[in-house]
Amino acid sequence: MTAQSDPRLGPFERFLLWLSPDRDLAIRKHDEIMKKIRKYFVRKGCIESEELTSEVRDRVIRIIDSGQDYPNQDALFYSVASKVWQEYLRKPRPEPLPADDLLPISNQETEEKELQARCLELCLAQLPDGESDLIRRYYHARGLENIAVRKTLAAECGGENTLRVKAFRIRLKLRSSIEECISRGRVN
Amino acid sequence: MKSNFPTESTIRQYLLGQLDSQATLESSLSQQMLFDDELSETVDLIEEELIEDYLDNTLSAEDRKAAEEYFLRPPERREKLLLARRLRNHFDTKPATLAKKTLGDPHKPGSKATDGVTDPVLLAGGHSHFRTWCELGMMVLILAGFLYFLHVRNNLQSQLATIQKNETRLANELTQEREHSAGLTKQLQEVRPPVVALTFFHSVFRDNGGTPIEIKPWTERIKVTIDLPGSSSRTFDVRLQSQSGQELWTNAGIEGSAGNLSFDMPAQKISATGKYCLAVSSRPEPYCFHARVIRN
Repeated sequence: MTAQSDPRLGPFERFLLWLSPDRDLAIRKHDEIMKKIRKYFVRKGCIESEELTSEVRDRVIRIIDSGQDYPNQDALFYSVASKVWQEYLRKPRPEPLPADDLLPISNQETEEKELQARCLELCLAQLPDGESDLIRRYYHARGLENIAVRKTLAAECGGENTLRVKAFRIRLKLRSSIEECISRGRVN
Repeated sequence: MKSNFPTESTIRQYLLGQLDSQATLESSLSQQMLFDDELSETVDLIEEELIEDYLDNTLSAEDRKAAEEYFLRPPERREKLLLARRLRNHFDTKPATLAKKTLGDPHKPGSKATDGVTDPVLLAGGHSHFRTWCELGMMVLILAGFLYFLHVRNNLQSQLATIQKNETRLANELTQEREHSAGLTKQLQEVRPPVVALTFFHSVFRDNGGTPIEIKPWTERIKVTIDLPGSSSRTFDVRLQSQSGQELWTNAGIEGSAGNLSFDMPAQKISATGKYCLAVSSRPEPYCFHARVIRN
């Protein structure tokens, strides 16, 4: 796929056009791919996933802007991400900072954590009854000492795997609503 | 799960960084996870479970070390770890029920953050303190409300007492004013009597040119007494006439007593100074009792 249609377009616009001629769809595709690339770096234990993701996007934009033809978008993104990761590994880096838990907590961080705690309460309270009941029982039943309870719950949900997936999806939903709540809280 | 998917154990190893020495496998898995949405979701699920296992302390020593030095390094995973901790903390302190409630604005002051504290007792304490503070806050509000109620009640009682006091004072003043007014009326009546007497004696009525009487502006009635010696009790008709013979006032059937006739006559019937005749039909021919009136 190429993006040579209009020489007046800027590099990013050309990049979007390469993703899709439909601009809205192109923006959606851009957001999705950025999310995936970021996850790719996180799964490698990278602590600078956001910066590396931006670097991948910038390089892909440059490649597309240079007029090269890359019909397989996924392949291009993967090869660039892989290259960026290899370069990152080769770079000398300072010793990692101690874990967050060991650092003294500043006032701003404390406020942030208070906000997070309040958002958790709020989002849990807003879950539909079935989900809130399931997640409560799931956590109540966790641990080896409650294995029998957890098995009962798993049987009710259609098996251990289904229970895991259901609990996972509820946590995913919770995390998303908590993130939204926190960003609203930061703005306010 | 698709047949070409890696096993759960392989994914766990990948996530813990234990496949880094097998570059080809690691690279192949990375690529597969990047573009296969179903596999990506499975990997997310296993990530969550690794976190749960880490918090449950059920990982082997080697896996726990890998989790701390590799898996939990990215901030995104630390966020997941914090959420999992908070969830545990939440359900540890509220195991029985999850009350549905609306907490409102997350900016409002409320619970203390407990993240970063790993001791479950301390974690539970954070929420219990929050609850205690809420209860204390409620008590302070109730106390403040009660004090305000007492304050308002005292104010109203005080206002009521003042009103009652003023009412009593005004009632006393009114009584005094009434007494004063009655005294003034009495004085006025003494100074300006509403009634004047007009008495005719039978022996003098015909030869003195009229009995004098002075009518003041405040005179309301004339009390007339006519001496009628020798007459018995009977009724009389009385007429007041001006000098020209015009009838000004009449009253029929006045009861007379032995030798005496008394009645009241309105003063306003005599409007001017002059001579007037009060004709009494007590005999076969009426007597005319003359009055010489001075009208002020």
